[in-house]
Amino acid sequence: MGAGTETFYDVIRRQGITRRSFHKFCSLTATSLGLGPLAATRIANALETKPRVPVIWMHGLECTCCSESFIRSAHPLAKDAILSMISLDYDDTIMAAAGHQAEAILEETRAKYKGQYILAVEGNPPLNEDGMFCIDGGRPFVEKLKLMAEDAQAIIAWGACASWGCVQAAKPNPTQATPIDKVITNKPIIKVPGCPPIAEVMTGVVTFITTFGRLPELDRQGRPKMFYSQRIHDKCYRRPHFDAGQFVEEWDDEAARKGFCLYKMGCKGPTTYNACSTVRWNGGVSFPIQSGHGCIGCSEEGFWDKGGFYDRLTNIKQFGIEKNADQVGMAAAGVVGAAVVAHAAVTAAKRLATKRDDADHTK
Amino acid sequence: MKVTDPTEFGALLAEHYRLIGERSMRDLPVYNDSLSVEAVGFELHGEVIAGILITPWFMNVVLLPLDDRLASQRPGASFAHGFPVGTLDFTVADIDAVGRIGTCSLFSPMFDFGDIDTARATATAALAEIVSPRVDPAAANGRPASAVDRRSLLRGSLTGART
Repeated sequence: MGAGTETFYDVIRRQGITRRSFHKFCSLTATSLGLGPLAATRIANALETKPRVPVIWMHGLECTCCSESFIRSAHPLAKDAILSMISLDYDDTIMAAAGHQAEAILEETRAKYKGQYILAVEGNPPLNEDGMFCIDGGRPFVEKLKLMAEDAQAIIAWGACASWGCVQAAKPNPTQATPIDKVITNKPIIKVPGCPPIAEVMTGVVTFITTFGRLPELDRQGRPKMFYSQRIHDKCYRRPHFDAGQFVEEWDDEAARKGFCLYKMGCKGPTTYNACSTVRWNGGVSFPIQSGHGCIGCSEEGFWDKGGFYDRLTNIKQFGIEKNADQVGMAAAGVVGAAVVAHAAVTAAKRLATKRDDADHTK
Repeated sequence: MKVTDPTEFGALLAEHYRLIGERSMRDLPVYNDSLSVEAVGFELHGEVIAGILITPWFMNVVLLPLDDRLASQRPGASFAHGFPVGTLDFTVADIDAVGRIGTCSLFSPMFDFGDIDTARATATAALAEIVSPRVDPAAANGRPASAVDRRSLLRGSLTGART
């Protein structure tokens, strides 16, 4: 249960983690957040002095792949760090408590940390038949979700389920599975889409919120800009093959062996915003395109209802670039004057550049 | 022999991608018929030639280092190059006509551009932003531009108070 005023640093020191490892963790985290070396110092400082933030982790209709991803964060300290940094008071997948004892934790956290705890939601509530398609602790999940959301400081929507609905919301959506921002409308919600999201992205988001006590900068769709402002296509290592018109035409052809672009095999990289092509998976080892399969666009809204994974993207005009909050001016650039063009160009140029200055993120 | 003249490099590059456009891209849904291939603003910036290449399917910042820094890199690898706007990450690409270059995607596909004039104006403005020195407001006030300077280090103001 709650750790009182104990800090993250107290906890990891007690667990025998050295100060050197702690600082290494801080600088790696700062790097993964796209922040400069000064931010590492600030993160270290915050983790040494601020009380740990309680986190309640709830599961609705989902497959638990978000949890699987999260607990496999590559950094050796992640197990200790993240699970110590956040005082994970309730998570029905990994907590020891069960039954009435588990339910009591929810009530206790809600009362003791009113307005302070973070509610992390994996999965979504089905609303049809008064929520009867997902019963948790003897009552509809949607009720439990609303109750816990009432006194939360902020809410994290893990994965495509909580953010957009995902496969359980696929047409005709018989259970009426609904993304959580349609149910909770009076709290800040940060969406961390993906099926599942990348472990480093998940830990990065949690670290940011617990360290700086607020949500990171979000785009128009409520996703953290630091991880979701780059398209797979823009940072893909196979991009030069796209540029040069070198495509895989069928599976296991000569072009596939040479690692050419997978656009013709249905890759959704050109319309997908995620960090896979830069952060990659399993500790930076690989990502779907690197293992020879196109991106299925799992972090995009409605990806499950947009035709086959192997259908070539033909309707790029309708979605993609204009969805990026940083490039809103672009859609209009064709018809409006030079000022809009210049603005869009400058925004695009700045977006490419690695942050030189972390002040904006950490103040 | 390696190209060292910026204008010639731009022209070779444009010619190469014009052929690719005709051969492989024209029939694909990512091809914007109202655009053409054009090399914009290729100039020498220290040890590298940099400029922007517009095609009907992408707009990239293209870099040709004049030293041999890319010799040991694999195509598809990523490397960083510092510009006044900040550090840009480039992907290594082997181009038959000009050799090993670095590319950094600005836009792709190109359906937001109605005509080549708009695309050219955007490329020019983006390039200006990338290569012009940033005016730092702190520096303009006579204070140090860098966040890490000796004075604040010694005064301990970098780390903040530890209470």
